[in-house]
Amino acid sequence: MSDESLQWLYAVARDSVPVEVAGIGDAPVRAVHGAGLCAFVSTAPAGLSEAGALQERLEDAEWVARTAVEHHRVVAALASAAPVVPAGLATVCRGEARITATLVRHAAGLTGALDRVTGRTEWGVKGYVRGGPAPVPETKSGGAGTAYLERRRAQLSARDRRHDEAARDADAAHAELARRADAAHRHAPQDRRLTGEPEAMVLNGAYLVPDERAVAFAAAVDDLAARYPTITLRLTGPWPPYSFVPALGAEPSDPDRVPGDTPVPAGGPP
Amino acid sequence: MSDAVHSREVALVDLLDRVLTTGVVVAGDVTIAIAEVDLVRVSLRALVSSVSTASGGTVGGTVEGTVSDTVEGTVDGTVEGAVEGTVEGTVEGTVDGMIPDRSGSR
Repeated sequence: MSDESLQWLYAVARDSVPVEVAGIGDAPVRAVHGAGLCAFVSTAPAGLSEAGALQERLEDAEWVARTAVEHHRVVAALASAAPVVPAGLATVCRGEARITATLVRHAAGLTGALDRVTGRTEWGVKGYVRGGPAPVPETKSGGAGTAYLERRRAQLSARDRRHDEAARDADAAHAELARRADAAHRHAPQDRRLTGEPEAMVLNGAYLVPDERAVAFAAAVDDLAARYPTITLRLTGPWPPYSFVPALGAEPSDPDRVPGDTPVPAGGPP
Repeated sequence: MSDAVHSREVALVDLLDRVLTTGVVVAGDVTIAIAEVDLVRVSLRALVSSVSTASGGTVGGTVEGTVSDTVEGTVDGTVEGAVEGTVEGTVEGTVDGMIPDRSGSR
């Protein structure tokens, strides 16, 4: 029965490396070998194996936040020791045997991904509209209605213009950064309520940069910020190459899928 | 003069961008199926509420009132209502938040 317990996958590497960081729910992280690769997993907390439990937790923002941090702690520790293909949050298999089967099935993709990320690091660059002086609203309180609407319209159009210019420059900055990276990806801009920033985000880029060019890449971010006064740029990282690896898991049209491997609804007993 | 920061401290929202992008629950031999997009939306919305509550940010009250667990239709309705209204904070915060690819427009 214990072999059917839910296994939480953190990352795949070529070889085993010692892991001293505890996994989700303080469970020990261990290596599972297959196809000449090594998956790092821990047994998920017992409560998660129950039908529907994982979905329920994933709807719980606090749980997602806490778990993302725990997941990342392990992935980051692994990534600092060896090239890894990180797994997305809540990549799980029922039973260790299926971890091995996943390694075997995805061996080619995983090996290719490991080759692509070796010697490279993901960096993030976020760009925000650079705040300008806000238009001073006239305090004269005459015929409120029309005057208010016109003021408001003027404010909004100035705001739109500023946003459009910043978006255009963010595109140019992204193109330049992508040129300096081996791969680039634009995540969706973050909601301002999540960033806590006063201005809208116009660039949420991820860049896979060869390690020997990391310093030059950071310098390029500074240069671009100087070149484009319409945007503020922030560098984040180093990150494990989350944004540049294939999703691990069963593709719906997986031709190698063997009978009996068909996905079943959540929590449905096999 | 950018304020480029090299930091090992990660912002939760940056982390979620990365660990949730590829879709969410991908089981090796799948035991779990989830509507990925819905999940991310729900989670991020719920996060918006909790983040605002925790930080007591300037738009906190607005966000809690507007977002919560409501469905798309409800939120849109609220946005339009707010635009007609008078509270600037509500209009800007909400509109930006609910039009995810706005910055992609030129």
